[in-house]
Amino acid sequence: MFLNILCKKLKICLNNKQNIFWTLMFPIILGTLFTIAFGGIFETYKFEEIKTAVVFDTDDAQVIENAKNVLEGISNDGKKLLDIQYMEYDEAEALLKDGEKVNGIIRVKEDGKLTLDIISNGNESTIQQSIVTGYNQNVTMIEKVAKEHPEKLGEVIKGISKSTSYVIPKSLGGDNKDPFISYFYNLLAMTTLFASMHSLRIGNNTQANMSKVGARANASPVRRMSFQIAGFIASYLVSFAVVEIGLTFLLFVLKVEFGGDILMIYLTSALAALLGVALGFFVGNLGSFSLEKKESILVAITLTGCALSGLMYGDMKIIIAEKVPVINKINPAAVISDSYYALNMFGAGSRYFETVIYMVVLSLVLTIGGLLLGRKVSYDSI
Amino acid sequence: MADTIVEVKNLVKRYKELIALDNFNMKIEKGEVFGLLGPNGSGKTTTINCILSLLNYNNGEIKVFGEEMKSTRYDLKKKIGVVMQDVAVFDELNVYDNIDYFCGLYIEDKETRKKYVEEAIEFVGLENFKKFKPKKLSGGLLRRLNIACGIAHKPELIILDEPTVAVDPQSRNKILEGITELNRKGATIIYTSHYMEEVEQICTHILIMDKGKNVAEGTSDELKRSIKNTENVIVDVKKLEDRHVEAVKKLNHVYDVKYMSDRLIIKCAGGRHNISHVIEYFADNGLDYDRIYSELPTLNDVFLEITGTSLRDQEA
Repeated sequence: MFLNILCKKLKICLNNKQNIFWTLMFPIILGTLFTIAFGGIFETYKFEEIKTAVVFDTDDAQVIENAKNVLEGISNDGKKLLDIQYMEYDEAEALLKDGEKVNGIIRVKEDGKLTLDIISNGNESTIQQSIVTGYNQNVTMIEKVAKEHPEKLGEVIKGISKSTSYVIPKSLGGDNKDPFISYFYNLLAMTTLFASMHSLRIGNNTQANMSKVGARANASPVRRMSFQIAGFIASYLVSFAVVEIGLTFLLFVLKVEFGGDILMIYLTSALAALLGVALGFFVGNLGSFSLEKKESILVAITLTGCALSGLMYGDMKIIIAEKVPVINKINPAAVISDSYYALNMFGAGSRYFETVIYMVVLSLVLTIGGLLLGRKVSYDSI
Repeated sequence: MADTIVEVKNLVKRYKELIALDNFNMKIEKGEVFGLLGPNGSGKTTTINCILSLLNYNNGEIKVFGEEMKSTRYDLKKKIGVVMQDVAVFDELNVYDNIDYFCGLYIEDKETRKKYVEEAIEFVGLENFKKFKPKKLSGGLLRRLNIACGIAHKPELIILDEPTVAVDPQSRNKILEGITELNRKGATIIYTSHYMEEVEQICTHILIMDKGKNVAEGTSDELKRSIKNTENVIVDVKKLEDRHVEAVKKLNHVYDVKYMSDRLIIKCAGGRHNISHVIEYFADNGLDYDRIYSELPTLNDVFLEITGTSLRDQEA
């Protein structure tokens, strides 16, 4: 009986051609556009050093030394990427205004973090911003570890040194597009969340007050839980397939380099698909709104989530992390893109597994929430 | 008690201030085609939804197959087939898969299910449309699919909630013949409708409900016998003066006369040859008429006499 329900639910999902088409076409079209846009940027900047003024707003010798080591060490195939000039702020500001002399001022602050002063946004600024962001993230992480797990500090610094020397050179120059890779992470997160449309209907189709087939299902001798579980599995299989096809297109057709173990990237996508399905399942069981309203809610959650995780503006996630960090922990799009980021930056280590745990916990909360919301067996009105 | 399939006692259902079912009572015996007749909004569908335990109710008792019906009585639900008022099928599945899906909720064995699905398709005459998606079917064929989904598992009790709404005459006849056939094969049927002709045609027992109450019940003949009206004489006549209308009212056995739209409707209570008396009056007074005929009372007359309003009036 369960198998029959599952097979038919799978057929229903697969025959919903509009959903399939858009969830498949979305990463293909947008991924292609991203590749064309970012590919052009990198062609222009393949081997050019970026003129950068570095100003120290601190006397802390350790902070100065750390900053110098990292900034001077950023290179690609042995060639330096930043043409660094150390100077006072007033001088740097004059050179920046000149435009030709420096492209940006990196200021090393008292707390060890960097800030970037630029006059206008450009490709150089984007790369400089990427460097500053990465540096600050590492400083934050070190501070956190020093505070919470001081015994692991040495190990973390070693790990960061490795990843810095690996990621930053690799992410700049050549044919790689790593400074913009987060856009692809977010694109995959968005694809995953849009694929949740498949599971949105589960709740509707099992509620007697929401749909005619729901009423018929409730009049049958099958427990609602069976419909919910079968629908969930079917939606997951379809979402999984759609997300993996999108990922395969990005990896092997557009040749986007995600970094990390390819199998782990696919497994991460499988888990991301679960989170997407859980989100759709939860919204589908949410109250007695019409299907159209629920679709609008899901689209709003997806777009807002993706915007906050940096699909439209790359540094948005960092801004959120600084201002309201909790949002990045509950925003499915941020959690998904962060897992790809962690896998790329730190490999399948504790940082990555932290994001995996977030994904699993969010998926469980949404699924259980959906089941609880949809457990009602008879209604006051239909 | 074993032969009572459904028993509803003092059922009360309120939607906020509105009382949808007001101490409603109903008893359905095995093998009946039980007609639940009433205007739109009279509480027919609410009654059905309460019987199926889809709706909570405020008071009363519902027994199905002699046992208290609850939403978790899956054993009882297994013996019930339901055809909802609105078509309830999946647009993404074709005719065969839709019937197979709903039949599969009741029948586990694959071979048996396949046989039942084929029989259901044949029963509703959709053999040539097995691979069609619902959107490709006409309204009548869609209704037939809706019925097939509800009866494929061969239930003992079949509930059909206005299955012929917006259906063409050909499909309607096919559906009504099918219901009679299902009953002949042993199923007890609950048939709700506001089309009294259909109810009169197929139902062995009729319950008329209005404003959530049981206003009358019995067989069609019993219901008609229970009212004062025994015969209606209808005369198509143009420009009839009021004095003649008043005079006709005074004829033997005539208790009510209405003249509207060039039609004189004379209601008679008892008596024989009522039509002869009317013809005689028209001849004596030199009145011309187009047509004169006599009709036995309908269920609408029953409803009209009991509630003071017509079923058809309320539909509008």
